[in-house]
Amino acid sequence: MTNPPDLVNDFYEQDIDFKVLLEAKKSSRKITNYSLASYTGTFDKDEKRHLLNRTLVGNAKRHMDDLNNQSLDQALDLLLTPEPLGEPINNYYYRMNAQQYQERYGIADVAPGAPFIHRPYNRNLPPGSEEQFGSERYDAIVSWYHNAIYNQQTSINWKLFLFLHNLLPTRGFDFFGHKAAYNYTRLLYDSCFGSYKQLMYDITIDSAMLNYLNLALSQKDTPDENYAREVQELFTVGKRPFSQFSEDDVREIARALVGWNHDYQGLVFDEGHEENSHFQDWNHDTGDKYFSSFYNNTVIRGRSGQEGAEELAEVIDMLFETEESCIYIARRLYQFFVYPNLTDQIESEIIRPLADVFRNSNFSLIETLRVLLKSEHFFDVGNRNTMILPPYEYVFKLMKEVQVLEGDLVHWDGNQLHDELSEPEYFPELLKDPLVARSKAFQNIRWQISQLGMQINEPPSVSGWPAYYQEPVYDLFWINSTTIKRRKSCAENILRWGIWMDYDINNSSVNLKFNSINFLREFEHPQNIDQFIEELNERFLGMDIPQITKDRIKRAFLGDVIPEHWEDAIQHILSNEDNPYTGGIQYRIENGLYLYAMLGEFHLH
Amino acid sequence: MKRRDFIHKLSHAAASPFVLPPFINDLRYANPNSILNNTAQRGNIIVLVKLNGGNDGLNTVIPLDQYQNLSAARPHVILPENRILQLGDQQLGLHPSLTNFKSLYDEGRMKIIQNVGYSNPDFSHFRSMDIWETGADANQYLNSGWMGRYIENQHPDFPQAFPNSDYPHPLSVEIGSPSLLFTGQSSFTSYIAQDPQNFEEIINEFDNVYANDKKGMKLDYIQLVSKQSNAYGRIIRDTYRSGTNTHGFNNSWLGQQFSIVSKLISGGLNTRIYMVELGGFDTHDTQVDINDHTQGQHTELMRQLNETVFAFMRNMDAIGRSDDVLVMTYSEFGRTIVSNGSRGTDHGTAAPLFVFGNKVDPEILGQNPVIPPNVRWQDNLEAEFDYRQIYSSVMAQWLNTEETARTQVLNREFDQVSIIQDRYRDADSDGVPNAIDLEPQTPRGAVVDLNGVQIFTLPTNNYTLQATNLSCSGKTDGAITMGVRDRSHVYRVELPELNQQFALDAENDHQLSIDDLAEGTYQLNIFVEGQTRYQQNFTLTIGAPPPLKAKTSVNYTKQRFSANLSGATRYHFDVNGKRFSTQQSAVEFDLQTGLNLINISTDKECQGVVQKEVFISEELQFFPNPVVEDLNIIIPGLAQKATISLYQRNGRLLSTHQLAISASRMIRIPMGDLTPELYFVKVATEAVIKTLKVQKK
Repeated sequence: MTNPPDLVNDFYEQDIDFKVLLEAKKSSRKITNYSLASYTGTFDKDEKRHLLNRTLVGNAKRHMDDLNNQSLDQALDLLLTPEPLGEPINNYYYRMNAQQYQERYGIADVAPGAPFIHRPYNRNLPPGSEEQFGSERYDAIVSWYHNAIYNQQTSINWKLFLFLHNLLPTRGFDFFGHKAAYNYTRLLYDSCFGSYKQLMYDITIDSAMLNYLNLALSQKDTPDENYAREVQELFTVGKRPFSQFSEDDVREIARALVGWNHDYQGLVFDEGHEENSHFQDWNHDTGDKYFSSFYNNTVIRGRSGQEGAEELAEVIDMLFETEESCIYIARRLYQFFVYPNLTDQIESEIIRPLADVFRNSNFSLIETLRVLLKSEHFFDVGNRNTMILPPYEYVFKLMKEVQVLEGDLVHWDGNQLHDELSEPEYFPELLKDPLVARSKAFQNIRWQISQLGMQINEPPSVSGWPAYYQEPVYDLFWINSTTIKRRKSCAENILRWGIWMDYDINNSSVNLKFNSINFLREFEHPQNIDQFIEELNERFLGMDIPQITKDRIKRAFLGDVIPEHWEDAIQHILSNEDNPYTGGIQYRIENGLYLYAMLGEFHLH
Repeated sequence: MKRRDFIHKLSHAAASPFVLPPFINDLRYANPNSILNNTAQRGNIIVLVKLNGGNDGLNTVIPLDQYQNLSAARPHVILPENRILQLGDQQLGLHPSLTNFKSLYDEGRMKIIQNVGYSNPDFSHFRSMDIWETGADANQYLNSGWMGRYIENQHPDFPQAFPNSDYPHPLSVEIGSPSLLFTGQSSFTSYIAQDPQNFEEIINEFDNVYANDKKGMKLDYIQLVSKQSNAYGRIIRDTYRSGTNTHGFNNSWLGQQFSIVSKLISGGLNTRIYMVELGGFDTHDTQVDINDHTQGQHTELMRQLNETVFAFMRNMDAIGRSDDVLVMTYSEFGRTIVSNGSRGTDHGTAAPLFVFGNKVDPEILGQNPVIPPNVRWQDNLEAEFDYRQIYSSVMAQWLNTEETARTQVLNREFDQVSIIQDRYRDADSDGVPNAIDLEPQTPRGAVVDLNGVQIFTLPTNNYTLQATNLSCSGKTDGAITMGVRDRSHVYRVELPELNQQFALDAENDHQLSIDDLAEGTYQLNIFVEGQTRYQQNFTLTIGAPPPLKAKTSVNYTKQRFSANLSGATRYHFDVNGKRFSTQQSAVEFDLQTGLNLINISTDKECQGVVQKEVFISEELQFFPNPVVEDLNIIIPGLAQKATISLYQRNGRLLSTHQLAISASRMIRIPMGDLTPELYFVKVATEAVIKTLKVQKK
């Protein structure tokens, strides 16, 4: 046991009344501009960074470069454009080649690098063989969307996907065979630019959702209320006290929707991947459904036969006719893209008008965001750098900034660091295959992000992640005394050790490490340590930091050398000449960047 | 016999319940500091077990008198009557997997409270768990957890002033992800100990003061979390590493969480509040297997809960801490009375709640729920107890929380139910349980005696006492002086050795000086006028100057003398007729070869003199022995020549040579040609003469 008093002294040296300080801060939190009118101020680096911070999943220099000489309107046009997305491909062939696949599943697999999602599993597998399905396609789907986020263009598409995923979550991989997870992901991604109301219809009968919230298991005599409740409380009109739907409304929606199911077997075992949800009229409650005054005492006429399926559209119509539905979505957009904590003034001056935009644009998320992201209020200085980076943003920002996946394989044999360029013979041939390398890298990255509290297709509950909805703490939830440590080790993996890929022939680890020389080339004055730090500040933090922090960063970069040696060494490195100092420079660059990733400012956007 | 030993022997045996004797002798909190409820020392621990998803109460604790109607209402999930574990002679049974719960019940270590919920129940997981964790009414929306509010209420300066010396350990620990339960009104109050063995130091500027805005608030928060992560991380790692579990836990997620809690407690973590969770209770479908209702999803959960809670109690038994722990389960709601065709149940309302611990009042609370013959699918159970009654009772009876604080945390008063046996409760939180507390309503923070009676006391540093030693042995010029800080009292001081009394009051300015004392030990008994139960005793010793003490040693190789001295501030050395003086207590100097005479003295003759005689001769070394070829002899000292004479064992001189000694101080004698037998080698220099016995091989 360490000695408690020593610990306390380490920790608490100051004699400051923090309570007073915090109270003062709370009372001084003021946003000056509460207007949805178009922003007319300068659109320079700070404004561009703010816009990218809030619309991308981790922004990097290349995104900033895309906005060079762009006006705000041009930038928004670029950002609010859909980004093409391919299909997941067979990058698992190194784990299971075509022959093994044939033997295991009794069916031919697609070629390496080819899309596989339409491919079935063998219908003739013995009963109970669900367990026999490997995780290779699961991993391929995971690396598919992670790879797309890493390569993300300057488009809001992926960020909006995360918004929808958090709002309409399912655990897609609970459904074996993986096509449901793909279809769900695809549906949300492709619906970002469409009508949210249409998405509500589609998601209700999406296999992953039918499975996740039990609609597929609902029976007409004892209808399952799970989906009926959440479609109101979490997906459209919101929860009380804002919305006053009743328990009877929940039961009536459950009655209206009972009968929807999907061909589970067909989706797993048949060629193709299209959703095959259908309406089982024999399992539908054909009685009339009566709703409360919250829904204007709507009556949905019960229907028999396949006509019963039409009741779903009427339910969706009814939900979106309420004023609350548009207010709820406008509020969720505001909290996700601007700031989570709300005030009465934000409710009345921002969210209400935004709700009108949403309704008048036929429930378009994009058109609503176009107004919000172009507003005076959005660009108010008081809103910038005020949210804690969610896990995906934190990790992808680091990865994208140093372009870690374009780096080199390295391995440390205990004495010496070997790298791919000078000693290719040290490295397994397999890892030099870019498809395999990405597959491996994202298996590792997925795990690391999950350790920070978030994982796509694995939401903690139907409410999504608490940091996006739990008043009043919200984004502070991302950081606690455990996740702050894990963010640290994640940054250390990306910046110092490299991303773990595999073992080499000698059973020591092979890692993928960013190329620090290429990184240096992106800076104007890397050889001048002070200017280099200023450039890094602007790129990594976008805000000024205390001098003491700057000094500490400088020490981390320089170590024991003087600035003149740094200058000399960097110049030699950039001109590809040998120099006695160059060997130690890479280590120092990693040290400095690693320190950046631990700064409080780095965790904000 | 101590209670825990007794319990340990009882564990898992078919003991007759409720016959535990009153273990008054084990009510051992004679420590007035337990009032602080701090984390610098041990105290009552509560472990909350959250059952996520809505546990099916009617398949967990089964009202046997309702079995017929129950099986009509929920044919898809009903448990076979003959497999239900009946509790004593009660019309109540447990799920077949809860075998250990039954034995804990039989031992009087488990309490069941039936029909816990709230009025106007909400059927949303999200909302209902919010209600349970925030402690809200059904129509009330709170943003903070009741535990978070409790911690903030008890520690208004959390988190800014934490950790500190009274609270070096986290106030609460949860394994898993942060919950609303510990979300306070202005802070997050728990430490997440999911990977306790790893400690990672966060490098962040520790004392930055940030701007007064939203950004600054976040930066402040991150800085604070970094500091706490570093401080608490070390504590958690160290206690986890030194902790051991004597009984294994199953490998379920719940088992892993309880295993961490158990290790932390055994390793000395004094955190008082823990939370673990078990998910998967949202059993809308396939709650039970189609062919065997005693198997299936819900059974698996019951099994994990059963094994894990029991393993935890066994571990606490083994380290003697089971008297100090309370384990309580909660879930957002029970499930519908009517079952689904998909062999599950939907979101329901009231449900039973379990509390475990050696000190629980084991009586089952609440009536069996009544199941009508024709249950409709929308029928649900009514709450008999508001869940906040349980919280309030736990706060009062286990966490020793005052009524005003309880009301602040839960926003109003709730009727108490009996969770802890009255004799183990401590209403005034003075560390003396009610059963033996003669004054069970002493004010908070008061110091009490072992009977719980408030006592007048003064801090020990109220007194300044000094004893002045004699100038020299045999004289009587010793003295005692005394002063006090608190001058609002009249003090009376007895010195039994002198048979005398003195007063300290305004008249002598609360100063006392007793002179002309002889060497000896003096007792001072201090009394305060008007406080008959107060007495403070001190013992002072008046000594003579100590005798001079010198601990000496000689290093013959280095020819150095060293002495550790005590008894004076200045010492005099007379070495071979020369004198030097020093104020050092550790002294070292070189010795000459031959005889050295050393005298050590002080300024005071009465302290005595230490005398030493040291003879330094030069020691020879030789090797190898036995010798085959050459014999090597090392001759220390300064002599430049040596005379070497070689004798047979019968004394016959074979040879004699005078040899020069080189700087290496080693000379070599060739003996290879000699016949194998014993020889004597005589070495003579101007400083030493020595004969060596050498075996030739």
